[in-house]
Amino acid sequence: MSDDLTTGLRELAESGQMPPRVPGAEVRRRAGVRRRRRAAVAAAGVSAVAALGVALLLNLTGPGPHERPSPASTGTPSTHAAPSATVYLARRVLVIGDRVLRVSAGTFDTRTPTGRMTVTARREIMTQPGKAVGFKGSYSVKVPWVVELSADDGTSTFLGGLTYDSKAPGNYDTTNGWIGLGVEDAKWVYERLSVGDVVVVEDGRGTPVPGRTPPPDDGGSGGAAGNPSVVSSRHGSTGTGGSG
Amino acid sequence: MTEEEFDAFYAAAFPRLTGQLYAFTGDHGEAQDVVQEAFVRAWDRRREFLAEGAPEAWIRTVAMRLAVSRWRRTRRWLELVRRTPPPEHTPGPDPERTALVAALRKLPEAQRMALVLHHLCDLSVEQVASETGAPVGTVKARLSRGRAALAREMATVDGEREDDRVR
Repeated sequence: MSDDLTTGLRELAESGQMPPRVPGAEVRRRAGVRRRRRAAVAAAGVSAVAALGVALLLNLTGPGPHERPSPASTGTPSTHAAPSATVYLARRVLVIGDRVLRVSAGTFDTRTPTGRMTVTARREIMTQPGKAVGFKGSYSVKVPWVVELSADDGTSTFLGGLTYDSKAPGNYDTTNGWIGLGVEDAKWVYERLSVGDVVVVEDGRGTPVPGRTPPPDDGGSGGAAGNPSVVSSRHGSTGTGGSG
Repeated sequence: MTEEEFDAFYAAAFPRLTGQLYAFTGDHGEAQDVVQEAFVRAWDRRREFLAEGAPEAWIRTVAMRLAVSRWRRTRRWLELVRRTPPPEHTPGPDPERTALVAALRKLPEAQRMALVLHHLCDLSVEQVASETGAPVGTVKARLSRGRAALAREMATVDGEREDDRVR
């Protein structure tokens, strides 16, 4: 059994060998980004502790007769690292780098959770019960290029390819809370996000989306349907994706 | 380790390590993910992993721990989001390998890790003990139980195949 097992495992491992997805330079770049994020968080933590110390000291000594409270402390550094991607739900777009991709998220009754989330896992394909993606009945749906997201409070959702409604991304919401993209776009996002990356999901109403100029009537209710500037610029797709 | 040396090491070791992690996880994507993540961490801690004198073993250990931690987190995530069991993995078409992958996936993590490290990565029982932080006797027991469970699983699969042939 031992020899057979060794042989079997070796054959299995050989069959499972795969080339790197990204070059070594990209691996080093990601390591550098994380190091800078950690340094930023640590520095912000030190500043916060120092600020707390000063505040406590002032509080203990009490304000002088001519002292006024300082204006709102807008200069406090954020302890958060920059997100790798941001989803603006009201506009139905996901911004990653210089690309703006169309999405379709949760319907009114099954809203997509918002907040700062971390990529916890990635799956090339995931089978979901139809009900779990917003279908009625006993269908089973395969969602390709899944990026699972979790917030610190335990809230979860995921990004994935919307195979059954290619018109939805950018136009209307159709899921029961997850964030659907065109299949090509979902694959592109899947290849760029790694476990540990931060994705921010925002309502996005009234917030200008980086990388594009919002049209005058873009109040969020109409989404990106009439917005020709929302495109998948790198591989030339319109962001609505295919149905593969 | 210079950037060029790291890149060369990454290019050479990545396929080997994904093969080993595939035997451990039964999932190509998962294997690639954890190995890549281990390399990202390795670059940041290259002094540490070079100091240990066995960089590939360092990466493998980190990748295996990541895989275990991801299984646990995924189980919790599945319970939260789907409340359904995870989808069945679809391994390659070779029935022997499919059976082996399926049988391996049924083993407890600790037994699977011991089998892969000992039988695939050629680590001695003592080295497996050192890498997994378990006593030597425990590793021996895990290997023995793991082998026995695999043998039972494979025998069941063979028996089912025989039955299919008879029908």
